[in-house]
Amino acid sequence: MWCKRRRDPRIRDEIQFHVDQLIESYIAVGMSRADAERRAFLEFGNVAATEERVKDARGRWLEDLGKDIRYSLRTFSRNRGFAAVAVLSLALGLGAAIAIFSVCDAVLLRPLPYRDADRVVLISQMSGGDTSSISWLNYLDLRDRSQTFDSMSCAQPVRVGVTGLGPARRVDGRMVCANFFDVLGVRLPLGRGFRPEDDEVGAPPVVIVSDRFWRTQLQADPRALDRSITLNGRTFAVVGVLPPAFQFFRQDDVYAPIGLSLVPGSGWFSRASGFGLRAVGRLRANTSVEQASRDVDRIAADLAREYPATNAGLGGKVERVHDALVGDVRGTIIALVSAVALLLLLACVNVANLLVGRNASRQTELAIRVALGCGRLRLMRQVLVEGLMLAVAGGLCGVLVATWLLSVVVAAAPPDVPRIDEIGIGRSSLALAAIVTVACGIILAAFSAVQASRAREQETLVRSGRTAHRAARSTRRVLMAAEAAFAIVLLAGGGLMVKTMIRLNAVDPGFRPNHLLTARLLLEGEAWREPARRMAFLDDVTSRILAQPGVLNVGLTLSLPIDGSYWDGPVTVADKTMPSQGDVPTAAFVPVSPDYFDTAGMPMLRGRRFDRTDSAEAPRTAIVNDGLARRLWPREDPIGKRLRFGLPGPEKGWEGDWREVVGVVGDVRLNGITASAPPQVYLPLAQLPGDSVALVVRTSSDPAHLATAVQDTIQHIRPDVPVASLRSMDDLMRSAVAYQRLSAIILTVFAGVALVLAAVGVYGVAANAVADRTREIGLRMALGARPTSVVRLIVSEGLGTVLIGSVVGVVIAALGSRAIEHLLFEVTPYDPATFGVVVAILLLTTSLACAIPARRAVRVDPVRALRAD
Amino acid sequence: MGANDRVPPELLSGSVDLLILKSLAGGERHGYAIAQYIRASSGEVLALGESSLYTALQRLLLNGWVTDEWGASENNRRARYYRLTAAGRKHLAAQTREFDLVVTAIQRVLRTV
Amino acid sequence: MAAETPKSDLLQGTLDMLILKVVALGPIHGYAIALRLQQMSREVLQVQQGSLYPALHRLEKRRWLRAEWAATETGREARFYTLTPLGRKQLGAQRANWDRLSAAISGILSTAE
Repeated sequence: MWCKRRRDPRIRDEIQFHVDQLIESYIAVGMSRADAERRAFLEFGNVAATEERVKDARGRWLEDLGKDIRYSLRTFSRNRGFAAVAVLSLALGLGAAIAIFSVCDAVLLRPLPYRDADRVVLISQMSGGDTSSISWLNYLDLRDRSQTFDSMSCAQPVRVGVTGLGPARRVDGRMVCANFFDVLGVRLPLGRGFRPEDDEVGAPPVVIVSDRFWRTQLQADPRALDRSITLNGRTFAVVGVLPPAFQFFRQDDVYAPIGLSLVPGSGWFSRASGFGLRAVGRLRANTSVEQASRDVDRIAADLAREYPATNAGLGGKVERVHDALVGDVRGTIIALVSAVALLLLLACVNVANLLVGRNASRQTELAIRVALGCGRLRLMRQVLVEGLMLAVAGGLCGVLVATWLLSVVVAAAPPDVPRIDEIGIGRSSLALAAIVTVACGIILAAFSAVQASRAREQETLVRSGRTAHRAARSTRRVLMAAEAAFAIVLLAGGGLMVKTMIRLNAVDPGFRPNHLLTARLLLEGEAWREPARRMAFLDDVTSRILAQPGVLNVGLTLSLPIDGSYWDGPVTVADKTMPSQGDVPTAAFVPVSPDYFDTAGMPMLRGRRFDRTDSAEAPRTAIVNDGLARRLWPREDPIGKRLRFGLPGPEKGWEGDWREVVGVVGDVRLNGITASAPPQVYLPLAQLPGDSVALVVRTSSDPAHLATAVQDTIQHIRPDVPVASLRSMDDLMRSAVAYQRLSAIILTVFAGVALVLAAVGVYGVAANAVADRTREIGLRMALGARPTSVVRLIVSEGLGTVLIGSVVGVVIAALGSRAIEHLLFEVTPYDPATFGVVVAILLLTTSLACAIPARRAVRVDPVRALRAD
Repeated sequence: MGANDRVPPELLSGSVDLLILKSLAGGERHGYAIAQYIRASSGEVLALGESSLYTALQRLLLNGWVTDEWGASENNRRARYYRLTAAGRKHLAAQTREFDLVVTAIQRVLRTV
Repeated sequence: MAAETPKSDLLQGTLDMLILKVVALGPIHGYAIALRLQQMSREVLQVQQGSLYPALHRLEKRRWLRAEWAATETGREARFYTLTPLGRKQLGAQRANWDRLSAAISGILSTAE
């Protein structure tokens, strides 16, 4: 209030004071008040005019700004096509940028919700270049011998069934060492963290739940700490609730002390098996990841010397949890960010191109304004206001575009994208949007101002802007070439991804994925300890689902194709000298039901299927896939040969009985669609019924229709058996290539937008060139040139520029396409066919864009054309 | 101080007519000689631009304070000569008094402490 | 065409300087500035309000003057102007220029024919 009063000059008050003083002075010399007033006003003159002149003298910044805005709006509304295309270009560019940045921000940039998150590292075991889980005993040694960590803890991912809270469910959980939350530096808003005594064998089972679990399953009960929940049939007391943002690699719902698993004499106390265990550590202050790596390597080398049987060749790997988390998506996101930057650049160039054209045709208008005394500064400001208005309108529409694009991205994104649920247009996205918008506006305005400053009053007035047109045309050609180059890069990116998708869709996965419904059953806990009971239940489920209408066949398997989660290990063949330890073939072990192969649609190449005779008590049998058969017995009949799991030698490990090969099936891709089929050994489920079994149902129609029926059937038999991952195989296949799909969708959209922008730019230049040369065209026509040859002339001029841009674009694209190399499948980053098609598409589109104004020109009456200025 | 170091244009323009009339008081001159006279007699302080000189002369002609006549210059070139009229001489006398009055008034203001 | 009078032009050309000079004597409002100028010049200089106020605000904008609302001795609020250091420097420069020019013009006008 005070400030405003102070700044407001109160011009009228000041003048009023003056007039009053005059009146007083006349009254003082004896005039009547009326006469004095008359005299005073007469002497002072026009009060309002004086007030206006004072305002002029002060300068009217705000009023002028308002005038500029109104003036801009008027020119935009006179030239709606220009304004619409400019705003749309910027909206697409900015919208895409905001959306991609929002993804980047949520996934890559935001720190993890741990205290000093950059000191929290993941420690994995390395064997033969792959990370693997770390065994409990190795972890203990690592923890006790390391010198670069403040503290260390460990965690093991598990899936657990939750019963007693509505229908049985399976949730993600983690078994953790008691100090886990301390190492991460997480404070629990409700309850307590784990205590060392919780880890001891025989301690009462306790659980810490996620905020999500607390809200959805415990109804955000503030007294949740008095409750217990049943996990895998065992009762756990709830001792704590985690903060909402907390997560460790995935959204786990329950955390229990790892001590519960450490049953003496179990596999936990062998250095050979890790059960998914990973160590996390908090680095000492001022300790680098490299120092920690050296520390861990040293310990690994010591252990390899001490326990050569299990630890030979093992190494360690230390990486920040954040890096480990985003590792897979970093490349994809960086590729998308580069693409979106290019798109934004293209949008700006396009608008700049439009501005040049508009300024050239406005040259006369600008010159008149300068001649009429509109200061050059005012004119610059006008241009700046115009640029900013375009950018702000583009930015606002861009936020809408971003909202839409984000919903598309999130819907298409693979569910394992870290922190995907945090993606949204947040404060930082909006701040970035504002900055980029204003930057675009200023760049455009500066560009426009340079153009406008060429308005040399007299010269331009005299020559009526024809020279200006010519100067603008060369600028526009450069911009057009730049647009073509950018468009080629984006088109190439989109093209490579489209080709990748085509190749991916053409992959033969080794089975028939359509009309296949999959689900996973979890049979954990005391009640399912007996394998026979598990088998009986599974048989019951199979026969009941088979009885459902629309069900053609039902199979059971431990590992679903494509899914990527399967057991593998070394295979030893009987009666054959096996190669040295490092070269022992590794194969996936997949227990399946007799009907599995037919249900999945896998071809039997030799021998027989499993059947009822392959029971738990029957001699051990196995079916191998074609690839393994060729590798193990290249020129022999594999039927009747014997193999077993584990390394050669006297030590007989887990399920180490000899098995007789009874059949050969076709190769099936297990680990996604892109990875070739690994060697596979199938065995009868009855001989090894796991506690987690996948159900495969072949249906006669859309498998989604049967999902409920299948779930109901299982729940009807045993309501406490959780059914998870109920989805069609098509769905599973889609999510296997989700990164490629997402990148393909986004890059194709970008490529399409780029093509449209480039076409608009080329059209604008061509239309302008044609308008400038109406006389010339008229003359040619009058002299008998055929319309087609005139059109060809104009199109070829435009194409020349586009071609130059395309060549530059191809070079940039060839250099840049390595950024998406990791996403490509059976396509090289410099695929000549793709590049050729892309260039052809651009040339075709732009020649169309050139031909439209050219055709219009040749239809003009030559006489009228000749009269044109 | 930039622009403000220069002669305020109004200051000079108010006295241009006067200076031209004064330069013709001693006899006829052509335009170039008028400018030379003003420059020299002001000790190079006052420099009259061509355009303001000739627009001022037009104004003086229209008001009937000067007349013009073509004649030969010192180096035998044809030149336009301006001469003061009787009305012009009267105007010069009146305006010189007025000028002195205003300058004195301004000096008085400036000398007030 | 209006006859040029040196008075109006001279005043217009020196108005900024005169205002700066008057304000230099102490904080003062617009009405009093006009009044002081009139008194100090013994009624020779009559400033039109239509020029005075735009000039005051122009000088304020150039930071040669500072303005502030304050009470007059009669208790009414008026906008008082004071000279800034920048304005004082400006006054000096303009005055030197004025002295030089007016001396040159007066010199010419006072010479006998």
